[in-house]
Amino acid sequence: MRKIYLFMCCMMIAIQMTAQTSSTENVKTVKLRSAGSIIQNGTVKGYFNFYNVEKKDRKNNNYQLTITDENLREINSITITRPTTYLLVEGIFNGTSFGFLFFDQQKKSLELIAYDQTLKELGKVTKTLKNRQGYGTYMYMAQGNEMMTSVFIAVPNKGFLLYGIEDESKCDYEIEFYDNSMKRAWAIYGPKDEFDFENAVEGFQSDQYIGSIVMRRTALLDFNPEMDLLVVNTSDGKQLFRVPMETSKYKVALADLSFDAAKQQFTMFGEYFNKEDNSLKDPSQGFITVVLDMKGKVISEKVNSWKKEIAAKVPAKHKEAFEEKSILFHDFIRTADGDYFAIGEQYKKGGTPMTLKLNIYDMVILQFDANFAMKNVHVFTKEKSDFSIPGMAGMIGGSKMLSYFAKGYGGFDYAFSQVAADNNTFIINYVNFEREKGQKGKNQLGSIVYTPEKTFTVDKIDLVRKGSKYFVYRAKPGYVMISEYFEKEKRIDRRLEKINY
Amino acid sequence: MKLRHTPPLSHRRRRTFFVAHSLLIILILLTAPLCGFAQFTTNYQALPIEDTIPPTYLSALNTRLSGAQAAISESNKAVIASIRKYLQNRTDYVISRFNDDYIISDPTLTSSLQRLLKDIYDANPQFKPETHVFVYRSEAVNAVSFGEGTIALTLGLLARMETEGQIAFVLCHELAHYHYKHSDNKIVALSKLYNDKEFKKEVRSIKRSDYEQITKFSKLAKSLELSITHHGREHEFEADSLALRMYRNLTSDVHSPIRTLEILDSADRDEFPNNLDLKTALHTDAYPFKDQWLAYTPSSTWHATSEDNDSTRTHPSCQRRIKALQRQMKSLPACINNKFNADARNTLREHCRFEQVASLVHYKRYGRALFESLKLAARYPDNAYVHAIIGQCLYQHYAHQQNHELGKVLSLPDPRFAENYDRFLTFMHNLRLSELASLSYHYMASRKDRYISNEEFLFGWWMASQTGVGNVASDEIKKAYIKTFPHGKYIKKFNK
Repeated sequence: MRKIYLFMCCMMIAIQMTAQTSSTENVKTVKLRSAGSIIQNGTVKGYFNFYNVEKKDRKNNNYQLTITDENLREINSITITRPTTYLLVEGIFNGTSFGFLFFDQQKKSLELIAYDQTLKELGKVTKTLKNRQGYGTYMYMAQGNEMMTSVFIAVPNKGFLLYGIEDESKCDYEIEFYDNSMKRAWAIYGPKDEFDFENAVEGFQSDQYIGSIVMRRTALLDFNPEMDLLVVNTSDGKQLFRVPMETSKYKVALADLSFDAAKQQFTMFGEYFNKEDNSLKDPSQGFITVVLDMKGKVISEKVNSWKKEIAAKVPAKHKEAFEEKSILFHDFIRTADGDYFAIGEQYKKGGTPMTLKLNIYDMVILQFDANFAMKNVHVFTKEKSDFSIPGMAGMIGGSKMLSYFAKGYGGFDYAFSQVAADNNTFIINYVNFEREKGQKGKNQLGSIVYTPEKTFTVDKIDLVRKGSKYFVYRAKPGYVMISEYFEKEKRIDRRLEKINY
Repeated sequence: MKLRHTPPLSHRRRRTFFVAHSLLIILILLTAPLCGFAQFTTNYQALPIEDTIPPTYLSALNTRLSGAQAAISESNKAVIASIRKYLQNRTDYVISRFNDDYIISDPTLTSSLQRLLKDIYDANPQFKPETHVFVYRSEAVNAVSFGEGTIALTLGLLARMETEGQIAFVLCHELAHYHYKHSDNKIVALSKLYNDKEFKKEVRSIKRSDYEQITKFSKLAKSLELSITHHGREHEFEADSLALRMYRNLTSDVHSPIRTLEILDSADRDEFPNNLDLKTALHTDAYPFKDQWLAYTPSSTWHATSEDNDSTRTHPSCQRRIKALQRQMKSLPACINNKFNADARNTLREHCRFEQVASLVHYKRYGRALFESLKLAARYPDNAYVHAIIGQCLYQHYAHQQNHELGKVLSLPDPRFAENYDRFLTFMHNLRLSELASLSYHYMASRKDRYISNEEFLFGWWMASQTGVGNVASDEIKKAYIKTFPHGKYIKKFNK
């Protein structure tokens, strides 16, 4: 999945913190974006809106927290008084309770609050961010940047997971599990070893297990990390296994993970690299699927290389582009019939050394069958866009590293994917600037739809901007939610748009 | 007021609609009629839309306004100016209702109401007959006294009324509001409040404060709202009381007033207790209905707020009003006669159901229009007009969805709607664009041989041909329409 981006973001944070580039203006942007989709098992179940209503006194504001259901009907609304430096990071629903993660910049603390479906508070906990890197993660977000992967995760009906950094460490992960009333049930930490920089992000969840991807580094700016798969019991956090994400021949990265309860097997799916290669810098060799037993031992593996299996399926007219450009993969989706889809976007380094850019090109979807054999390569053309790389960031390395940087700053057109409840249909959304001949350019939301008939179709919605800002959010399957902010009126309008297919 | 389970759109409509004193009358039939009326078996001709206010009534409104403004008896100049402004706004609002096509003065629907109004005044000679009654194009089950003499009963209300006696009681209630001058008194009270020195001082003080301005303004507004609501609730009991006395002077029927409020109390339920059989209604051999379209899962995050406290409603609960009426009935003398015409009422009721559909189409509320049409189609399966409207509405959903404008014509599912309507909305939202196109086309194609001579149907068939589903020449249908209906109401729409 997109897990690797968090690691990249962590690295960029370090750079950003050194550069001291935070600004008040960006924070305002984040405040405005303190609205988002409430996700449960990958499906939008509603939306939260958190905004500053007024000054309570010199140090505090009155904030309003409003929750709507997936059809934008207000469920409830409450007013809470908190410091002026308070931000909502994430809102989630686990089927029983809502969980909200707040960040107080001044106090350098997190507050986790659980509410029932009437917005009655069930419990809360405050955590001081003593670790500089842990604090940096949230400051990165407060500067208006995307958190590329969630740190606050709903565990269906049981509670919430919080991924962070251990206080008493240089930069080792901390995974905490809170129940529905925000009482901490368990916590696990990165081991005390030579890898002082170990970050973890969620990999998968099943009824019994929680899988995390752990990236090990010996130094903050070590750009050749090792990846591990860590699996623990949901009930008590007890480790089932922790194994390197590799086979006898290859390293695996950007992996999508799943657990088959019937077969008692774990599956990793993602790009693979030669063992001596650097997965953050070198191009991958192709895609691999690896099946592990309950001890983390490799049972089987299957590869599809760029040069053979994948190249054979690239449409003739796109072969040249495939050779010239690289692909950054944003998401992986498995449909009900077992087919796997890797969703990516082409890019290429451009500009001059002084004005470095990352040019963003077409959307690419690789389709594998249930046995992970290469089935098809789909290319969806769109207008080229570009992302200007700040001078300092240009020093961090080749185009692959820059692609992660651009991703962290929202430089790619890809927005999000949505999968229907029956897993037969999915929609890939991207925002692009379209220029039609003789017409003024306009932003468009492009939706690539994989239909129940197993064909692709593309729908486009003009993002006509009436307000001063607009945002596109995930919505219930088949829809997108568009929110517009009217600065003069201090009003936010939200609407659901149905996607045509 | 029973607003808590009604959708936001209705809230807004009601808030606007009831800018003057109003009575929210919501009725539900406990048993749906199982059969239709012969008059509506094969067709329905919608009433013409009245674009502007009749000149004679505009003149009458202006005369009344001048009279009301001249009769202001306050001494404070600011208060007088304020009252004049409010009176002007009230008249402008009534005129806008006419000009926006909401008010129906066509005798087809209003003659029986005029007769009832006359009967009420004849039976209550102490009141001057200075009001006029109309029908209002809305499916909301409401009635309103605008305060300057105009009274309107909605199509939704008239479609639900079981007896003329119930309509008469509603009219009496609205007349009571008018003759008690509830609207006029509120205008005076508000004008005095807004020009009150203490009130202005408090507003200035809040504006100057550095902290919690919004909280303070909200508290102030809340206290005013409670005060207004409290008086509004008193007015409702007062209007009920006078309405009962007026009503008992008119008729020996003692059942209708209580029955009206009983029905009001169960207003949130759908008129028809069973859910629409969408499969039967929309299945065609050429395009079989898919059961997956009926998937219905109410929101899992939805939390219905607790019952509103009765003290915060503008209208007191119906149960309390029923008890008050029952107490009053014991002390009233025996009555005079019963003049109601049951057959006329039933025909009017059906007429209003059809006209509701026509109104919804006129206001481009195609989702609701389709829902109401499907309900009518179940009772009038051979009515060409109903099938034509169903076809037209299906096409409109397709056309709007194609332009990503579905939200303009179709509401989102909402747990606060009656389940029947919520299921229908969910069904409509489950349809893909291509499915909407196919449903639209095949619904009309399967019926065209039977209803093609009907103007509404022919235009609907032309619409369906625009979906590109079947190999039908749109131009040929257009030519056929122009030839058959050279002065038809859709001629202009072909060129859009």
